[in-house]
Amino acid sequence: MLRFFRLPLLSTLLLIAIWSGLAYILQSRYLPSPFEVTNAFVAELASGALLFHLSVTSLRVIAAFIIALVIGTAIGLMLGRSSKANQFFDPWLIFALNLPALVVIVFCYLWFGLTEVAAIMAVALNKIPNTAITMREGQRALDPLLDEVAIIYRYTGWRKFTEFTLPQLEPYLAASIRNGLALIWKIVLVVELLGRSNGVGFQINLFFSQFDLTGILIYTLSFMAIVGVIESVVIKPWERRARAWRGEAS
Amino acid sequence: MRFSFTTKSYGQEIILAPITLTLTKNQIIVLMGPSGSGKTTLLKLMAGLEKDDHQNPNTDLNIGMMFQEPRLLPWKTVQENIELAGPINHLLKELDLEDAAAFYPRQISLGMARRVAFARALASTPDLLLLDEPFASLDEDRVILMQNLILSAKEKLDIPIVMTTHDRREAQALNAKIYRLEGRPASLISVE
Repeated sequence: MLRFFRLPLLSTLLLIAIWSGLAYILQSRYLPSPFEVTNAFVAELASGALLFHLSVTSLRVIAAFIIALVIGTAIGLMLGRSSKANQFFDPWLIFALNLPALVVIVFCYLWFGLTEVAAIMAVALNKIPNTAITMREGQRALDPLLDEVAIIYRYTGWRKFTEFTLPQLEPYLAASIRNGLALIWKIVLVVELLGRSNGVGFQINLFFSQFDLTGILIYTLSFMAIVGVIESVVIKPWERRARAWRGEAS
Repeated sequence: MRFSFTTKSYGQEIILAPITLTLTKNQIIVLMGPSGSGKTTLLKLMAGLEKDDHQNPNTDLNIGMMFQEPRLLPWKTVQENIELAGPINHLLKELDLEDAAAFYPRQISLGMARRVAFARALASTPDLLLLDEPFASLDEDRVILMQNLILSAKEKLDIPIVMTTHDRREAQALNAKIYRLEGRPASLISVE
């Protein structure tokens, strides 16, 4: 176990050492040392502000993530199943895919006001096209021979979906989830920066206006840590379990 | 049990001529014929997986079917694959699959995968058993084992079994009624 973590640990320590060295040499307010950041982190944690803003952002990430995954999966499966629907909606999908995230966010705020619903909708809308395209490929890759097995043993509707379809879609779902989390948390920060009065993005904007790099680092690193924990505690174990039948190491 | 189909075409080509087949309990029927003669198509018509040119309705019979390929679900273990069709009861023991119950399909041989597919077909407690090339790619010992399993299933379940094969000796070993699919469109011809 220790051997497994040795290289990543060494690399992290090296990064902190380089950061410390540069901060010591430059002595600039624009590059606080790890020590200063740690002290400020403890103070922010003790005040309760850090936990409040982290939890607000996390809730937005989770809400947008679930909405994008459910709607994107439904659209992707529909397009994968019907070539006519795919031909018809493909230009829409390409348009949505190429629309800059910032434009979607601005439009949502302009149309629906600076509200929570608009913020979450803006994030979800940015992710839906990616999920739809990944899941469309998953639907197309389904094995038609197994469909005949499902018909013979009378699996239809939801039972067929859970027993036959979902396990075949799992690699595509895993890719969507992994990419989705990475994309969504970054967009959430922009959404908060532009139109919310709380959350990590709002705090980063606040510290930016005060030229406070320590504050920016505290919030950025803390939120990155949360995303890392979600990845290693929830996503990776789920992927490992889903891949067990293939005999693949995760 | 009587099956009656009109012609069956793929595109412009008529594959099967109108066919009527009557089955009785505790009987094995073997369909023979060269590759592409329509044996599998006929089995699929009986299984309700295909419709004839007059869109004859799918069958209401409870069918157990073993396809040419084992078609096991790779994400399910041997036991789970069998349970997909119905209660497993003594099937693992009878088909000598007890030691492999927890294995995934990628971990077992083709011969064993065939037995699992056969067990799955039996687990559905079928009214009719359809076996598509059950001996293909099996060595001689495995062919004899599979023949014994088919004969034992016939006795126990007291149902008709329809299977396809290329090899007349295999059909004779099962004391089966043999039909040949001949011509294009193919007709069913009894071989005595």
